[in-house]
Amino acid sequence: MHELLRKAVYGQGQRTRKFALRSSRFTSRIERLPTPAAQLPAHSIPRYAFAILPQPMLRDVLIVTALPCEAKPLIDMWQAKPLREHRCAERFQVFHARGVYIATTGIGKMRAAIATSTLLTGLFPNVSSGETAPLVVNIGIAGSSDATIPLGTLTYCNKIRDVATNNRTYPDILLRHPLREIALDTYDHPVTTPTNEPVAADMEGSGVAQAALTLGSPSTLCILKVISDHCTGVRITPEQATALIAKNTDTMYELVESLRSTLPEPARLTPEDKVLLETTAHHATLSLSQRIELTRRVSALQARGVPWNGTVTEFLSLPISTKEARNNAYQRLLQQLSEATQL
Amino acid sequence: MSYLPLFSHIYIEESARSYPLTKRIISRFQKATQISINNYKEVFNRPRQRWDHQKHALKLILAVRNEAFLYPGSSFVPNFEHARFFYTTPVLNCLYGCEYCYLQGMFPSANIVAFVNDEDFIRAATLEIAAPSPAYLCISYDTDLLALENIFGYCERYIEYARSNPHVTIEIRTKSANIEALSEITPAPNVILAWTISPDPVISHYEHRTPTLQARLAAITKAHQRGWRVRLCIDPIIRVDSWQTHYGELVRETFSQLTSDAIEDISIGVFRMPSGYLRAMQESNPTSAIVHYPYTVRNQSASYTPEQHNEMIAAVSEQLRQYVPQEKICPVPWQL
Repeated sequence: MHELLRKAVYGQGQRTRKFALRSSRFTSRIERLPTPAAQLPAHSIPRYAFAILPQPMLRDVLIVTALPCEAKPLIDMWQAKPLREHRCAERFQVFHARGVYIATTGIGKMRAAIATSTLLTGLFPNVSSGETAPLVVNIGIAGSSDATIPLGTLTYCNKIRDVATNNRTYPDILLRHPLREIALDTYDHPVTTPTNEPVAADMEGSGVAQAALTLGSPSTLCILKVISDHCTGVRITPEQATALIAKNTDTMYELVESLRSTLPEPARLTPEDKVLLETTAHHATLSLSQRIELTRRVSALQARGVPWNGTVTEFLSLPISTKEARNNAYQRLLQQLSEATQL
Repeated sequence: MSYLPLFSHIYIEESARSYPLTKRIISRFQKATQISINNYKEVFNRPRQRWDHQKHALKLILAVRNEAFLYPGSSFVPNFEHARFFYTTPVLNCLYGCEYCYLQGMFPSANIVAFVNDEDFIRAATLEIAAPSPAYLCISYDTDLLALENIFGYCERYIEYARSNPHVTIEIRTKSANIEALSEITPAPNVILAWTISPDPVISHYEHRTPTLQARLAAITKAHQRGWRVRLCIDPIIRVDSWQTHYGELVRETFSQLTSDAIEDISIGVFRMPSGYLRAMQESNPTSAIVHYPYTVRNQSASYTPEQHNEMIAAVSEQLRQYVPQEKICPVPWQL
C-alpha cells in the first residue's frame, strides 16, 4: 500500500513504531519512573503504576537542504526513495524512508521558508499543534569567518539570526552531542569577505527556522552546517559540497535518529477512534461543547493507554430520543470515563 | 545519546553581563555554552515550547528585571492572617518536575530565568513594604530558592533583608533537602522555612526529581535544631488511590521524627489552580494522569468537588490532631 495512503488509513507512524520497539535507546515511560514501582510497598502503589502506557511513536523527520548535491549523501545514508503521487512531490524533490523525508528547497531563505512550510503542512496534516510536529532538520554547507574552525567541521547551530531583519530564533539543544556549537547568520547573498563575528554564515537557516517554529516547537528544530569556507569568496563546487556533507553523514544520522527516538510522540487517537467518536456524537446528537469535552477526555485516556472504547461503544446502544435523555446518558458516560481516570 | 546536563547552555542578556551575580554563575558553570540575547523573553517566551522535553535538559537564562519586583499575594495561597501579603519572583521556574505544578500552565518554558539585579529586588521590597505595619513576603512561590541557593544565594540576601526589616515576615517555601546551604547563616526570627511534604508514593510518581520524604524530614529536623522557624505544608493533597492510607502514613512518619513544638504551623490544602493554567498543562502534557483528572471547574478555578475537598481536609486534619493542637492546623478553604 502506498505509504501516505497507509498512513491515512492506519494513522501516522505505525510502520515507524516497529522501528521504535527495536531501538535499544527506547525506554517506556514506566522505565523512566524515578522509583521503580516494584520497590514500593504494595499498599502504596497507585493503581496507574501498573498500567503499561502505549509505546510512543517515533517522531517523523523532515530534512531540508538547499541543493540536491547536499541532499544526495543523506538520501544514500537513509536509503530514501523518491516520493511519488503526492502533491508535495510535484513542487519539490522529496525522498522518504521510515518516516524520514528529505527535500531540497532551492537557494535563499525565502525559498527555504516557503518550501519548509509547504512540506510541513503537505506531508504532516496535523502539524498545526506543536505536539504532532515532526523534527525539522536543516542540513547544508556554510561559511565561517572564524578561521580556527577547520573546513569540513560539522556544527550545531544554537542561535539563528536573519541578518536583514535581525530576527533571532533559538532551537532547543537537548541531547549530548559531539559537535561544535555555533551561532548562524543568514544572509540574502553569499558572504565573500570575512566579518568580525565568529559565527557561521548561510542563506537558508533563518527561513527554515522561522517556518519550523511557526508550525512546530523549538525542541524539534535542528540546524546542522558543515563549514565549507572561511568567507573568502572561494567557490564551492557541487561535488565539493557533496563530499563535505558525506564526510559527516554518520554523525548526522546518529544525531537525527537519537532526537526522533528521544522526543517521541505520545499515542494519539487513531482514525478508527475518531470514527467511533463521530458515530457516538451523531447517535446522541451531542452539542458541540459536549463533543469537544468527550474528545478531550478520551484523548487523555488514549495517551495514557487506559481503555475507553468499550465504555463509548456501550453508549451507542442506548436509546436516545429526547434532549433530556441525551444529557442524562452523556453525564453517565462522562462519569464512567472519569472512573477510568482515577489516579 | 542522553540528555544534556543541567544548565549546559546559559542565555545571557547583554545588560546582565556586568552584574557580580552573573560573573559568579558563569564561573561556576565554566563548561556551559554561553549564548548572548537581548531580552530574556526572546528565549523564555518562544511559542510552542515543549515543557516535557525541556525539563530533561534545563537551560539557565540570566536577565535583568526592570519592573514588577513585587506582586500582591495570590488568592490561591493562604496569607496566614497578614493583611499585607506580597510575593516576589527573583527566579522564574524550578529545578523540580512536579506534574501538578501550576508553573507548567503559567510559564511558556521550563527553563529557569534568574534575575541578577538582586539589589534592585531588595531595594523595591524595602521601599514598597514600609514599616511599621506587619507584612508577609513569600520569596519562593514560582521557584524553589533553597534548592538553588548554592548557585544564586537569594535566600541569604532575603534573610539579611528580613533582619533589618523586622515588620516583614518572610516565607521560603521549598521541597529541597539543601538545608546545608543555610548552615553559615544565623536564623532570623521573622523568616519561616516552609517545607512541602507529600507521601512517598506521590513523591515518586508525581514530584519528579524532588528529594524523598525522608530527606525532607531530615532537613526539617536540622533546620529546627539550628533554630529556624519551620512550617509544614501538606499542600497539594492529591486524591490518589488509597489517599487516606498514604496521607495517614505521611502524618505518622512525619511526627515519628518531629515533635509538635518543632512546627510553627501546618498548612493543608487540596490540588487547585486557575483553570486556564490547567488547560495549558493538558495541552502540553498529554500523558499525565494528574493533569487530566476530571476536576471541577468553577469561577475559573479547577479543583476537586466541595465534598471531596471537605473530605480530604477533614481526614488529614483528623490525622494531624493526634499530634498537634488544632490552632496549628491551617486549612486552605474551598474557594471555587
